[in-house]
Amino acid sequence: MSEGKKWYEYAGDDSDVIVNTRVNVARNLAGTPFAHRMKAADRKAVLSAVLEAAGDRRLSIAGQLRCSLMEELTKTEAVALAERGVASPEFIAKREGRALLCSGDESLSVAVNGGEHLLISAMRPGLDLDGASNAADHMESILSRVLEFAFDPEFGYLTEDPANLGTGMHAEMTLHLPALSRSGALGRVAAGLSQLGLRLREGVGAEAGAELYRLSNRVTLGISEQEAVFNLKSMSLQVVLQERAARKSLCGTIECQDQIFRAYGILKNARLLPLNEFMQAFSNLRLGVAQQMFREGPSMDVMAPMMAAAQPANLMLRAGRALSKAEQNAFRGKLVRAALEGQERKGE
Amino acid sequence: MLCQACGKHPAVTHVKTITNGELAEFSLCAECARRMGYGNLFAELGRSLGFLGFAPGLEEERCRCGAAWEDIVRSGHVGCPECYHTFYDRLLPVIQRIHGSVRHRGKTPGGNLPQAAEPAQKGLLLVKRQQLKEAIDAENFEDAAALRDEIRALEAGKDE
Repeated sequence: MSEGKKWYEYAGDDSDVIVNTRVNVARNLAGTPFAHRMKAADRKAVLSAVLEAAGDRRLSIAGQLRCSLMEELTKTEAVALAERGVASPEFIAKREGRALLCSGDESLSVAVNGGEHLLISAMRPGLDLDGASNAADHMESILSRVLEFAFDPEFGYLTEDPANLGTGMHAEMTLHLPALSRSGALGRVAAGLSQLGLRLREGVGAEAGAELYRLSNRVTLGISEQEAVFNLKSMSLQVVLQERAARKSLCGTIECQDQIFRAYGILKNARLLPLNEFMQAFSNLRLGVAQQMFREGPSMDVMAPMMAAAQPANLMLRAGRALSKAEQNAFRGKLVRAALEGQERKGE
Repeated sequence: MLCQACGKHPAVTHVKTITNGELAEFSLCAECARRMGYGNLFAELGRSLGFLGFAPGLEEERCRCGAAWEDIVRSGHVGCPECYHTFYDRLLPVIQRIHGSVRHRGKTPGGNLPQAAEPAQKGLLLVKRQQLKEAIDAENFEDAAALRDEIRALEAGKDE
């Protein structure tokens, strides 16, 4: 992590509720079988075509993306990519013949030979659907000058999974919804969104109580990229408003305030910090920070990088060696304390 | 194996997740998978086999890539771009069911970069050349002359 900050280390717009935004664009090369019917030679051909395109001197992206061959990564490195949201768990599950091309700040990537030949992803902190979709679209346009993508005038861009057919574009936002989820209103919200062609799913660390959810467009055929982004944006802002309203009543209760201040105490002081406890406390503290409950507390910019950094594989990468559970808990505690203390010193 | 969400029905869909620094698999039944937004739509539709074209005695058709319709239904994955033509009639209702529409709107190859206008024009050129050939074959020289001029104009535009 020596080359400056990564995209997920910033907070971004509407970050009280919207953690980040990503846009995925799926593309396949014309005349080549789709991923699950590919032979090793096909995978090799697709990979070398993409690598050649990414290094093509005539294109403005030449040399901007660094390529990692997935089979050359250690298991910890691969899992760390998924923890940071740079690659999906599905993508790292099978590594043979797969590669990830990634920009220095990890905000732009091309996953090669996953479920689709290419998955172009652009990620932004907070709410920035336009920024993310423009970045992904730009990358696709540039690559399309040298790669011929499978396209049909009726069905649009052809994909292995018919659910990606058409634009091949899925925009997704990670939302922090502690108030809606605790009030039990989330099921109703999700059902309403589903009728509008959107999908609300649990996000990372759901089982640990991180209260993060992913909102994305389900439909990709018959709706243009701009329309899909516009729909998602307006509906996500509705969810944001509902969450904010629910937070007002939730955070007015002494029980919730107690949880938030206890969480702050745990994160500031724990010497051993297990992952589950961290996730729950993080969710509570994030809520407190968003609701401006601390006179001198951490800012969202301090909270943003903590989530990825505290995950097990990323801890081990930072430590430079394998860590036992107990060592992870100690190291996690140390990192989180340092982040929060640094903030307090700045405030003094 | 039972579904890890409801614990009642047999698991059919396996979703990869990262749990405690390890790659893990979360197994779901068809109902829970659908509820959580995963799952193989073909398999769901597969319950009504007739709907998916499993007419008894239907001879097994294979796409150029080697995929048969049954492979697509079982895996939930289309075999290659060509499969969309080979199995057009059978894919159409599935696509309709997923998207509610079967007509692409949005970006087309080379749609937003002036330099990339080429592929679309290339397609048009191919069509015009084919029409020209047909016109000549039919000895329809008036149309052929007009088509020839159009093709020249397209080719000139490409060189610019």
